[in-house]
Amino acid sequence: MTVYAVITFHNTHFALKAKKVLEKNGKTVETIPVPREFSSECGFCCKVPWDERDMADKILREHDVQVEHIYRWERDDDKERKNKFTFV
Amino acid sequence: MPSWVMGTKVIYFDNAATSGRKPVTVSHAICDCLKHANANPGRSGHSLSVKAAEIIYSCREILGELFNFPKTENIVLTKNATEALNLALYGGLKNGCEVITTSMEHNSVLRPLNHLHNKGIIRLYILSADGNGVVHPKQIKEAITEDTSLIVVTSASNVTGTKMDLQGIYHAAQEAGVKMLVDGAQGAGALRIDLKETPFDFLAVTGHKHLFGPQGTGALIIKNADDLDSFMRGGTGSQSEMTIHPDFPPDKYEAGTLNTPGYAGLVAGIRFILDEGLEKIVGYEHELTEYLLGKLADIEEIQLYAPDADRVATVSFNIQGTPPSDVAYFLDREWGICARSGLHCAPEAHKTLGTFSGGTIRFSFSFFNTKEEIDSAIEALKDFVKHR
Repeated sequence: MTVYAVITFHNTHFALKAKKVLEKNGKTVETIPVPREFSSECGFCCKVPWDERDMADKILREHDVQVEHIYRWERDDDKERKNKFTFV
Repeated sequence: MPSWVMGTKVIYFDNAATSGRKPVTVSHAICDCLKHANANPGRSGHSLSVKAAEIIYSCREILGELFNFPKTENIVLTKNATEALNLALYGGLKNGCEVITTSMEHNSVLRPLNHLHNKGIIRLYILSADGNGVVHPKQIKEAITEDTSLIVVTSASNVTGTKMDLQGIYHAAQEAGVKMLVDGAQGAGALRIDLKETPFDFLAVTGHKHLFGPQGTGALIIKNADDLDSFMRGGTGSQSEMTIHPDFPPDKYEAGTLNTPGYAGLVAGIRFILDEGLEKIVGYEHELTEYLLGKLADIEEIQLYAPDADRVATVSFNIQGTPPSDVAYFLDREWGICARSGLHCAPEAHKTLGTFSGGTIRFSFSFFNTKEEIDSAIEALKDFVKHR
């Protein structure tokens, strides 16, 4: 099992700003649809390794990115079949 | 570089209405968006929706870069400057507000303001410009009362090209604690606007003129989102569980799906400006304008308006004793020159210039025009004068 921090935002503008800022600071971040168990939002949020949540939160605050919530998200590894499709 | 319409070479001098030639990257960006990111931005979490959202994000980001405004969530995307101006006016003006504006404004400012005035919601004062289309900061200062809540002023006249003293007017507004809305339709991409230097409360811009974007794109840049109510309400992709509209920007002001392909084009247009350098573009357009003014001075029958104005690349004139529509028709049909005649949606400006209701002929240039094209136009005007 892998544990992630799911960071949600009020809107996709801040989700993308967060992704950009975190990547600029050398963090591994992925945008994912907002998991239903956390929110009924239509858009997407950011996923980072659980251990990096505090550092990510700090970086985002420093860059005026408004975070809604940070959730703990436990995933069975066999559910993580990412990058199967790529769009060019 | 010539433009072609149905196999015929045309000279396009109507860039103040819509920039005719766009950098080739603009149409490529629009096509790329339609091919590879044609999903709804911010509504879903799948890859294509994220790609579309990234285009919207990059559009705010590049507008922020151009105008030196880092708070990109306060850059609201609209369909044009008119929508941006309406958002600022109807979202910001409350009952009893007093508003000052100028006679050089476009109808996109005058009509909403007159509508609010005629409904008894605001009191409107229109300050007259001088013969060069200038409204001085001193006039604004004198007109401000303790009830004044907003000054609305154009960055440059769409009739004469006259640049307004935005810095001077901003300082007058600041001193009196009055907010300022700038209509940047003619100024954005045609003169330097730095919101860090002069942080106007609201800046409305359009994408399809000097920013080289397609029609259907524009923005309102808002210094403080608390100052402005939303104008339209609807779907945003955020807070979907709620049936009331979000109160945070940009969602607060953007209801319904945005024009993603259009904004992709606008990003490419602004990228072109940033890559070439705004100063270089403005300098070249100034050179073209001075060249035209020099040539027009040689034709005795030409009546030039706002002769001493500090202007963007827009010039208004008439041929004495001839309706401007006749001249524009001749230029188009006989010489393939696209120029606009009439009132240019700015009736008060023409009253100021003494050209109401016939109007003027207007030439407006872009970075893609040439001195050779101006030479052809001068030849055409001489031809008209000779044979009329």
